[in-house]
Amino acid sequence: MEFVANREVFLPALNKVIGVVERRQTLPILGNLLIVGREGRVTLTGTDLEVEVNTNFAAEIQSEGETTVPARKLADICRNLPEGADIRMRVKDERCVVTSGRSRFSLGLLPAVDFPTMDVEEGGFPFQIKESQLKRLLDKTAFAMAQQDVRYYLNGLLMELNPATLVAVATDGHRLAKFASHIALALGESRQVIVPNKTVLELRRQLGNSDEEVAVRLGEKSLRVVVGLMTMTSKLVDGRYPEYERVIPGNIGRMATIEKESLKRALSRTAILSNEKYRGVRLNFDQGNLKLLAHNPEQEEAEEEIEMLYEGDSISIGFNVAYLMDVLAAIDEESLAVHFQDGNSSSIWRGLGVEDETFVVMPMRL
Amino acid sequence: MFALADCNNFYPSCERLFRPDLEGRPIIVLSNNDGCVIARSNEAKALGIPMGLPFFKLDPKQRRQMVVYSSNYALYGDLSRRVMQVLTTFAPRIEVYSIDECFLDLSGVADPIGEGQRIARTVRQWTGIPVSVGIAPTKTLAKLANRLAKKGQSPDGPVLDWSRLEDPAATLAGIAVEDVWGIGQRWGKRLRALGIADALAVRAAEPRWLRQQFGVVLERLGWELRGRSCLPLAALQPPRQQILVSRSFGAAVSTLPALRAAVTRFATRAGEKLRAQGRCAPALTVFIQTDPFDPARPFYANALTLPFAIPTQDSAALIRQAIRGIERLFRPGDAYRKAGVLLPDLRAAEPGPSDLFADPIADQAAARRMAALDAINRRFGRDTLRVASEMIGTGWQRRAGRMSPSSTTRWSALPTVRAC
Repeated sequence: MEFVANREVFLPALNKVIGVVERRQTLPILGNLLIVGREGRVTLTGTDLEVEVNTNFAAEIQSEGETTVPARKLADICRNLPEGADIRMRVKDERCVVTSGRSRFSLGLLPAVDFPTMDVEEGGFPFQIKESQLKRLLDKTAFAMAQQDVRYYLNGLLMELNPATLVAVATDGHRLAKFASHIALALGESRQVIVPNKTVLELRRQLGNSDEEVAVRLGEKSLRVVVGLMTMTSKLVDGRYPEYERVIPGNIGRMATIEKESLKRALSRTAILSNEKYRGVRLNFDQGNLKLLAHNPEQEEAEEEIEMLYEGDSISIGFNVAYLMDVLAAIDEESLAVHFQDGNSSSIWRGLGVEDETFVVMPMRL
Repeated sequence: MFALADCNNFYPSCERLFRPDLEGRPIIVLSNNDGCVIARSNEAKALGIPMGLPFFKLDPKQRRQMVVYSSNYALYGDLSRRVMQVLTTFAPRIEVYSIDECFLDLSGVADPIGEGQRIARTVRQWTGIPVSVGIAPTKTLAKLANRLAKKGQSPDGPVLDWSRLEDPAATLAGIAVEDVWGIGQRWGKRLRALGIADALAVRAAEPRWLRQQFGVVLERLGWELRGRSCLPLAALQPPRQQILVSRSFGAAVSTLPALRAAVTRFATRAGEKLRAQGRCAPALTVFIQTDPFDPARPFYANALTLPFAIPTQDSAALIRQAIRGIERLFRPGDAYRKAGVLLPDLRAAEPGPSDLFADPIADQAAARRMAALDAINRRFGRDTLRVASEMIGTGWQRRAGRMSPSSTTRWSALPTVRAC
């Protein structure tokens, strides 16, 4: 195999696929990229056996063929070459030689036949969604996914397909984020799948704010998303997601309206003197006034008050400040509405007037 | 000003408490399963019995002169609690440092020596345990002062005030660097390689240099030896970070039921401790090992940490997890000598649900069950109510053939005194 491509085409393609390549692999070949040069195009593929990403670009192909080379080394080399440089890749004597201008790199390679590509699942349910719409769905929810929970089905994002909505839900047991995206889906009954944590984060990283259509295909065991030239194929988490509706409190009597920025700033200040491990901040809701309190084991205290719209009894609720900050970052509106019952029950947070998003936060005992 | 009150030969002193006839006789206390010598009375020390000596290596002739006890932690723990209780009356703030040591804040006390003597006298009189008191401007020096007092190098009996030393430099020069509080064998070796062999040399070293070479901990020690206090009293015992329950077995255990029974027992104990401290466990580690000294078989040791979906206080959950672990660790054909259960990364138990998917009704039922279990066992004695899987399988119980009665914690063990 031998081809020449410009750095400004090669590097962006590399950046698309490098994200899924783990820094430490179980199999050496998982640290490599599969590079195929054929019919005027070069295809790059990276995988961690759970999620696979490939993309392609036009190149001047001198001889067709395929190989695998160390992903990070190749990306680092391309990144450090001068802007606009032409890069030549050539397989010769069990080495992959990268040349550009007066630079020359000889990389080790592993045979392309050993590269584990994912099986393409036939059939499945296809649909189209705007890139920006899919990105928004992930932005609103991905932060609440569990990282390494024993309940493995929480280490992912629930995608629920309904005839008129695509709903995403994420929770780690302490907070829950749900967002409904309005989209007509030609399916008879609802369907749920769990997309693994890493796939969600990688997809979110790659999505932009364009109105281009993204093609999604949902199989029994895998998910395929095509964004422009990039194709991401991921296994699904084999498990049943808990009944999330059950933990979204229904009848909540009290509601307060708070300006988001001032709450955010007040929280980050009070949090300085919260317990470093548990990050607890107490919120006292009182007529028109929200008081934030924090203290730490050194008996240091922080107190801050901000205005809000609230008519009702005094209620005090403890929160993990990190959870609240995540929620505030996910809300787009300038004001937010918080619904709560008492200091022992979970509360619901939303942008003011927004129905599509639901953020549930458990209280913590302080 | 700090005082360190340290019980003299604590375990032998406890054993003597109900056996006044043992006054003046050499006593040794053995570790779990009567393996090694872990405590010696002054008389035993005088006979040259070294610390940590395997019991079977003790010369039979010497053994006959000796009063030998298996360790009785119920007795020692209870007497320790009593000693600490007496000490609280002497200072506004104390730090219980170990089972037999306690720092007291003596700042503002006009006559520290007199106060120290009152402390020693009162503890002796109220609990029967002899204590020595070291007094100094820093905790590190108080620790050294206490050592000197124990060695009888004080004009004030059981109390030694550092400021009364005629030549503190000479005293420090006589203390090996490894014997300074906080310096272990490893640092000792490195310090010696740098030409610092005794406490005086540590004091003479530039504190900044100590920090560069060893870090802030040793810099603090340097300042403390110079008399500037860097280590305040840790008045509040920080809540426990972990709970470990492990035992060496009385005899080798090679069957799964016996191991299951053993870890059930350990998990039960760990659960009791957990609830008593109001903490809950996010995970459970279970470990087993074979006899490391058996030349006939290869050594096998392994551990497994299993997390809980939701941190728990429930013994039933702990036991289930421990049994799951031991079933995965067990290899048929091995003879196990030791097993244990560790609860790491403990956190405060929150009343009420702490997880969206918790089942509050089941949790409350479990909490009530545990509360009832604990209440029954507190009232009618430990082991009144036990988990059945603990009784299916024996052979792992510890060997403690020479244990004294637990005279302060069991009604049945109350000593009888006959007046003639």
